[in-house]
Amino acid sequence: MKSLLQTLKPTAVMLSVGLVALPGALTAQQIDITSDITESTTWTANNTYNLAGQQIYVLPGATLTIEAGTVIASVEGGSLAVTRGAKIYALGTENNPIIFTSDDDVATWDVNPLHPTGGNPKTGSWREAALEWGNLTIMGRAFMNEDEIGTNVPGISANNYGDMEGLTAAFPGDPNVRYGGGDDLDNSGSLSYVSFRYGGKVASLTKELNGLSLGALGRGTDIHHVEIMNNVDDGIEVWGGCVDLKYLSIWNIGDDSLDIDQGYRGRIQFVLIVQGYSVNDSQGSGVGDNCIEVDGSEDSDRQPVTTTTMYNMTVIGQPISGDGMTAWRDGARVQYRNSIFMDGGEAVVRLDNVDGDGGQGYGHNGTLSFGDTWTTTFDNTSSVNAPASPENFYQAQNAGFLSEMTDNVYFRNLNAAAYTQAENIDGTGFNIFSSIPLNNNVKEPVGQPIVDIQRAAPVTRGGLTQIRVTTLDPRPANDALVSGDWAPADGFFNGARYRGAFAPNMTWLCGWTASTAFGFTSDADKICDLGGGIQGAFGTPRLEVTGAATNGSATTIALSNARPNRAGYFIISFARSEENSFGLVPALGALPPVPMVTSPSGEFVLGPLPWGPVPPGLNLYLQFFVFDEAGEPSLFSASNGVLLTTK
Amino acid sequence: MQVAIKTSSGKIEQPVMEYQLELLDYGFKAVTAIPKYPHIKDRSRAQYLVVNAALDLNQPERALAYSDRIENWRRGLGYADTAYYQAERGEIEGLEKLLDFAMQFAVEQSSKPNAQAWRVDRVRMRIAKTRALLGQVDEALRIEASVVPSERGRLGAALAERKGESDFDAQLASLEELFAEAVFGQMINARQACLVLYSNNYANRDRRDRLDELLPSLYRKFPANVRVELSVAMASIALEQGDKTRAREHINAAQGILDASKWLPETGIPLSAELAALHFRAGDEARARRYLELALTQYQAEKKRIINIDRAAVLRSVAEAYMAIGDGDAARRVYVQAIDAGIENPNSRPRAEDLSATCISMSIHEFNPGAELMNRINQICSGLTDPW
Repeated sequence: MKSLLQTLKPTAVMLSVGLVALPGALTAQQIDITSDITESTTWTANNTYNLAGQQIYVLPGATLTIEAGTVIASVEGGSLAVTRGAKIYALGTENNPIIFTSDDDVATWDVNPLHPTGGNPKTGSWREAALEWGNLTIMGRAFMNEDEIGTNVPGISANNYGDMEGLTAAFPGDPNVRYGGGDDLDNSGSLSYVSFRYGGKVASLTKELNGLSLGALGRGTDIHHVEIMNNVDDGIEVWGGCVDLKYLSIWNIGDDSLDIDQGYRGRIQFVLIVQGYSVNDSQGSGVGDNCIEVDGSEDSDRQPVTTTTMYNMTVIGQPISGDGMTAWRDGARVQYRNSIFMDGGEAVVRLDNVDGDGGQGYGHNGTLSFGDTWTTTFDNTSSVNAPASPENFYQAQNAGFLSEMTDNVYFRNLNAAAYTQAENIDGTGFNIFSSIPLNNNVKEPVGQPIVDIQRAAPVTRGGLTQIRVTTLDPRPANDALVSGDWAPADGFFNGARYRGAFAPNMTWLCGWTASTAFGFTSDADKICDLGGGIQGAFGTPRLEVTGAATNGSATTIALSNARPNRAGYFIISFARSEENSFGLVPALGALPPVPMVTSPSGEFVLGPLPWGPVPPGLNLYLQFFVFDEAGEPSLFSASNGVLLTTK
Repeated sequence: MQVAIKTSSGKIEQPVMEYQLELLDYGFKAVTAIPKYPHIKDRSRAQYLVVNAALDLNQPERALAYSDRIENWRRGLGYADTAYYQAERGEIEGLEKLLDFAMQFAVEQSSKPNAQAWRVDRVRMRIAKTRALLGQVDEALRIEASVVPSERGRLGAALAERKGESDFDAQLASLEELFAEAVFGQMINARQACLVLYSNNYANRDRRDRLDELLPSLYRKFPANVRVELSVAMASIALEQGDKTRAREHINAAQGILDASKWLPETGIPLSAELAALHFRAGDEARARRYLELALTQYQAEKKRIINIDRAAVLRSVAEAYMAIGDGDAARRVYVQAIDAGIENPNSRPRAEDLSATCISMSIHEFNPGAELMNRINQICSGLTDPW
């Protein structure tokens, strides 16, 4: 049998090897950022940047571009806010992430013989710390609502706005701290492959900051592959707007891992939440609060109200002292599908009802009760303060009921009240395991739904017993390997046919995350799921790669979930497509596409392909394309892309 | 990829003044100077606005030439808009090829990892609208059925344009059904269909009265700005029909909504300016002038509350209103202010976007800037450079 590399051109191999030099080899300068960014600028990977103890604003009209591989290592209080009308383009890659961290995190950024891993984002060590710098806040012009602004009206209006939490207005009406408006297609820029570590320290107030704060971002903003590691307040908080979010990894958060409010209407897919602790402090308790906390609006009768769909979440709580897996407040409507909820310390469905900040809960002023939202179809909602109907602007949900938990696995949620609310929603008798036809929910199966999880010995933090996750293999196992249904082909969701955030045999954490650098998750196989894909008749075809690419090993490349008996192509390349045209993850050019035909069960297997001598660090980008008329409008489907790196 | 499209659209190219084309070219040049990386989204959006302006001025060949230079999904939108323009005028030569190219760019965009459906579906709906105009209603409906909900409802205007008077009741029922379903995005999109229906049936008193009653009621729960815009559009149609009495009723309704609501200056001033122009058209010049003076006074008073990249847009709306009331001198003063406001921000991306928008505004509203101001525009355009 031919080796995978036997057909590769030698020149191309040499070129690729030349690209794997680590950024630590470059001479870095430390640059202090001490004033607001009024003129567009680029932060380059050969320097390290320090938000020098101040709240730095990217002011309207300015664009901050951050090169892949750039590290921003800031002192306490340093923080970055992108105002409405400003842009941020922080475009890291799977091999060269952008890292926001603190200057104390020397193992990540400082090239110094005293800590030899410094400067290499793929290495480092976890510390029990946070509050070492601020955060990134981005403010946009999409619709939201907030009841503390006197001129805001209860209904949807382009005039409604909010003043961003944690920022201080320079004068009354200061537009630099304001978010909200009337443009749901607003573009605040793009974030990809960005890791935020050890943050949450506000510059001048006693408050804390979320790892990433997103205020009223429009659909024109692109955000995917973002990690928050150790933040003292929420991990990611979203206020209003409708930006879609994909590939989020959130660890050791001192408050809610994912917090949503003020009428968010975007879609979310592929999220890993691992509750732990970082540091004890005043607002965020230093240990996790709710895994996911969703408020409808600041008061529950305001519009827009949060209405969202989340697919493929892997939510791992704190089994002894954690709070809710999902918290519901002030009219929130959420569909959780194809997800894993495990090791929760409290309720799977936690009905807080109110936010403790003046909100009056579900059912206020004629709005739907919490129970109503579980039996009301997605396109038929409350008319209170609504422009003709609350479906206004609401594009995230396109089937089912306003509130839903379907096709999920619930595992090892041992609190006596873990399922009390879930099995009797709002006291109505509605039971997520029996009241929804074909709900596909799996409650407390025998087999663990992920491959492996290891925890440290219990410790007490903030008066609570914490069992920190030390190693995690979040890939699906048992009931999580195959889902009953999959996400709709709506142009955003990937039609993943599994439960949880990761495909079988692969993760998308490799190469760019602190979780991998710190050894919590492994990339020993050097097989990285790059996502992408185009849905066909059976969801998105899945490419799985198994077997390390090293001398003496063999690799198997397997396609499944494709339309049966259809022609297609296997694409392999040394480089990633820059344009991603037609869904292409590998760049075309070095090797011709390999024709193939799927089996009657929609599969195709290549290998096992044996490896001979191979240079380490060679990147191979793989993907399948299959003709499929269900792939509207392109008439073909595409698998996820996979990066296989030789060892 | 450059696409060379030959269409018959030259036949329907309408003559315009040379300065109008020069302004469009400056507008396109300014935003095309914006670097693609990382600004491709904003650059393409701004380029597409110039394509729209070219079509507004009946310059489809120019619109195509501009579209060819857009480098993201909005190029497909430009082709589809041009195809629709041709279909509206019965010029079908080369139209299929244009639709093919539009679909090609739609497909390419739809296939990108992390693509967002509304982008490609916006192109597909333009194609569907064109198919509807060409009589290919089934195909149009098939496309519409497969797009995301927010993009639906855009077919209504095209179908309304195509259908004859005998379809009035069916169209009205269809719109009422759409509103009964109450999906906001669709209802916003359906507004144009409502207005086409209103315009086409204005001469029929019974139908006009029905629509006069029905349309405001359909939108009564919408945000104030949507209701103002609807009344403004209905007033404009009444004025086009020479019906100043009815127009004044719509204008007063809009003014009532405007006065009863609280507005941020960047939202409220443009609406005031638009209403002022309508007051003039309805025969009340004194009121129009008074409102425009008030708008400028409000702008000066609240300028600090408007971020500098939003100021030129506010001023452009007032300048356009002055053009509408025939006061070119006042318009010139305000356009000059708008150009100055457009370069208050130190970055060339917002400067280019503002300059382009001001050029489009002048061109569409037939404001001849003259040699001196044109030279200033050229200087600003040529001076666009780092920082972007």
